[in-house]
Amino acid sequence: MALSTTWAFLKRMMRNPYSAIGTVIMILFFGWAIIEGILRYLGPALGFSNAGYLLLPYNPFSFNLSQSLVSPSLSHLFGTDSLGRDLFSRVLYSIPIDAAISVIVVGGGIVVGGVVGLTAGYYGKGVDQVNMRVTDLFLAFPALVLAMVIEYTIGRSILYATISLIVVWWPVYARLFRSEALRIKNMRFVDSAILSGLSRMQVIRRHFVRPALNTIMSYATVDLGNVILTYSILSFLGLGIPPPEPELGSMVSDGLSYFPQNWWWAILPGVVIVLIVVGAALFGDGVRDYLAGE
Amino acid sequence: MERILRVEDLNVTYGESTRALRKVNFDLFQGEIVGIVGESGSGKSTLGLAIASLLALNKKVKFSGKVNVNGVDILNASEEQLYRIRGTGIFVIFQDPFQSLDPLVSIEDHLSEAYAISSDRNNVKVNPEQIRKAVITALKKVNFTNPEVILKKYPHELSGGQNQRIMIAMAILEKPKLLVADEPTTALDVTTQAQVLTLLKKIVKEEDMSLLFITHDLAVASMLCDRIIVLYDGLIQEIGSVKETISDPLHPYTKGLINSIPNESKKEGRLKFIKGMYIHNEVIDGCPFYPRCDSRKDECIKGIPSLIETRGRKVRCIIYGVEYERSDTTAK
Amino acid sequence: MSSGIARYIATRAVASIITVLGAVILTFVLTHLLAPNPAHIWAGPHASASEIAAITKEYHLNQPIQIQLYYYIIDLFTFNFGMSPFFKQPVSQLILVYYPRTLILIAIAMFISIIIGIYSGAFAAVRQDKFGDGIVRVAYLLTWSTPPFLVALFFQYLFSYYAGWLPSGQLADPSLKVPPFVTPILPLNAIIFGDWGFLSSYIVHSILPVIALTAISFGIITRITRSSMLETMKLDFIRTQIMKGTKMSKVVYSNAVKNSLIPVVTVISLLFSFLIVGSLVIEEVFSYTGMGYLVTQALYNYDYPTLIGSIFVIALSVILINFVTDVVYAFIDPRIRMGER
Repeated sequence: MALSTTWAFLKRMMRNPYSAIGTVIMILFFGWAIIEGILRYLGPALGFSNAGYLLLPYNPFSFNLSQSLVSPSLSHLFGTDSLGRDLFSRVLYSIPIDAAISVIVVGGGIVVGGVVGLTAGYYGKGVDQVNMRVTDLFLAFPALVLAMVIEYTIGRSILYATISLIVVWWPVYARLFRSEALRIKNMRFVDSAILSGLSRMQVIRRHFVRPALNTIMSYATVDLGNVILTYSILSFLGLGIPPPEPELGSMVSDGLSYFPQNWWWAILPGVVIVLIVVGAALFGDGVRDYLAGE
Repeated sequence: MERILRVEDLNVTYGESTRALRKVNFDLFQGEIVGIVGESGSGKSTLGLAIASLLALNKKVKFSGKVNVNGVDILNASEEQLYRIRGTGIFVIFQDPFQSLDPLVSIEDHLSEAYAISSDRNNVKVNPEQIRKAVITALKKVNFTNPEVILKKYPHELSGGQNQRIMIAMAILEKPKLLVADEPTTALDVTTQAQVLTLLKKIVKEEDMSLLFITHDLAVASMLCDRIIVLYDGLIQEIGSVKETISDPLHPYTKGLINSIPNESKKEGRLKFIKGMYIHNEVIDGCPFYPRCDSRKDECIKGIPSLIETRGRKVRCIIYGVEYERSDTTAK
Repeated sequence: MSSGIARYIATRAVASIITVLGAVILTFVLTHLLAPNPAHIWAGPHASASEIAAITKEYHLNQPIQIQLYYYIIDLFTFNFGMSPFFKQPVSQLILVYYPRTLILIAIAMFISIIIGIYSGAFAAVRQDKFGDGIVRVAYLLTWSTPPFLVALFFQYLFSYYAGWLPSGQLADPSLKVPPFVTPILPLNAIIFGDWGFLSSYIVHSILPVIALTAISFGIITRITRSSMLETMKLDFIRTQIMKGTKMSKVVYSNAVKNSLIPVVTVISLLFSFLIVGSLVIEEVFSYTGMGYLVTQALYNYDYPTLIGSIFVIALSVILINFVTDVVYAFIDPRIRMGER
């Protein structure tokens, strides 16, 4: 996207208060994730082993038992946990992982679901039957439960968690892409494109993949939030990155036994999840209105 | 003769700029069938909605003027007043026969509800048996030979023509003073169309209703109506009795419409048509038909011509007298 | 019953059975092919070499893959999910104890959700873009975006720690003994043994989980009802009903709502899936010993047979509910009833 269209898009999103809130949250979320992610993974390569902590108020891993269970204040915005770790730093530290997972899972879902759904819709008949039966089969399991078991079987790690989520995430996209393909197939311009001598792959790419992606874009934006929500439940159940790595969901479950006396531990990381998911939903609605307006 | 409907200075706009009707004035009397003829975009359906009190359902609509049905000022009436007049005062038959009946409600329930409403309004107590009897009688009147079978059916099981006859049966059961039919036969094939039209005319006369018949088809209107109102771009162009309007149209637009009706007796070999195309909201200061008119003059665009009386009929064309509307009422 | 509806039900039943077979194969692929060492995970992490050998023999893990599949299918369809290495009980027995407890919570939450959802959706649709609509939309956006554990914490704080009206957790007062297992339905067992103290404690302890489950799920129904109402209200037959002189309230709450319910029926199995997932974490927050407890315990204690048995039964339930809603759908909509769709 050229710079000027990006600017026009942002200006448009700022006009409506709801999509403006969503846009701001998304910019903060992904902006921070990119900055912190670069520092964390590029820093050590350049010889700054602690670059990941540079922008954080405190080291998210260092114990300070004299400062344990401090309630939120200016020095500890989100308070501290039982080991005296600053929760705000831990929340900030966990964000790049969430951002990466949401983008990878939605992207993976679009690729797998796109192939399954578009071939089903484009070829129809037997291909359609087989593809859709498989899709229905995956939809019969509650996504999170299946993801949980898959990750449990193949091994607990951040990589396996992401793979498990993609395995349960694509069926919805397969359905969306299929109905888009069916809609497009019934339009006259496809016949004329084939008659005009374009190859089959060119027709599929130009007339199916691109318009279908356009329609699915706004759903995918909202879906970023759904992935974060689902991943937070996985990590709440202990299926995320193993401790001491901080994660939003596991911070809530760790804080459970200190609730309600030390409420901030469980609640504030949870509120951050809500903010991100609401932001994605509002942003997605804005994207839909923007695409509809074009 | 009793006056059933009076429309006075009715202006309707959609949104900020789209004008649908401009300064519409006409009356409709007891027992009369009046046809509103115009092409799509002329505002004829909007006129139907305004009279049927359904305009306010669309939030973007702005309107001014008066629509008086049976003594009720429709545009300013309360929800309660409107409720009292709908069904037994005015009833509408819509264009698409497959969408105008609730798909989840059987024909029997549709018709029984109509009869229950009208008896309730007339303070008559009816039992289920009487309702069923009335419903079956109504179905027979609209030429169903097997009413008992039809009652059990759902709208999607009937044909378009049958559904429109159900709508007419509904009108019989409610006996509205004014029936509005908005292109009721456009979606039907030609044979069915003729049957439904004949039936509609027969029922209106038998049940002593008045009918406002909205159509794009002048030929259909001439079959059915007593009077015809020609609408173009939201303006009434001509009002007259069917006979006079068809045999001696005044307005160039009406002439064009009549010439483009295929007719065996005119052996001209080629179908005539009105040149150009109607472009909605094309801004014209003056007669909206000017760009397509064969007899246009410079005077046509000095203002919107007035609807003037000539030979006992009304027409909006400067050929019959150079007179203009005051700009304040039509500027919208 | 017409032949149309019979044929429709038959095709849906066949499709459901195919999906069940697919679910069997999917779990088989997971447990026998994807798992790095099947015997090891079936036996649990602390199993000895002899235990693993026994497990290998019992589950036919040293046999060719098709023989394994054969025994696997036989086992699943006789609801033989093996022994739980953690609970030291047959998995089917565990599911029979814990699943109904959660199903009761879910059934009640579903019922309330559907009522609140339909009403709030219709309420919002009638007031499109006005204040009431805005409130409803914000409410479902928030409940949809909040992780279930946070919703549970919120209600726990509000009704238990702050107001003190309801107990903060547990299935019932821990000092009371759970009545013996006679039927899978716990409250029924309490009634059979006349244990009214337990029954009332159980009911009081179940209120918070039901509230939390309702709160996370009603938005699904609200959202679909609202959008489907908005579509329906534009249709011609609504105008016909208005013109007939039917009361506006009847047009909205009878004609429009009934026609809007068709899409609502189709999301009921989605609602169920959502509630199952929600119950996993909500039961964790409330220390409520239902299916969520069983699954999370299995997860924490490397109890693979229990985990697989549980998700198979959950998938079966979803498929069954899908089938039932398809049938209900056919009875509501005469167009399907007549075999035309």
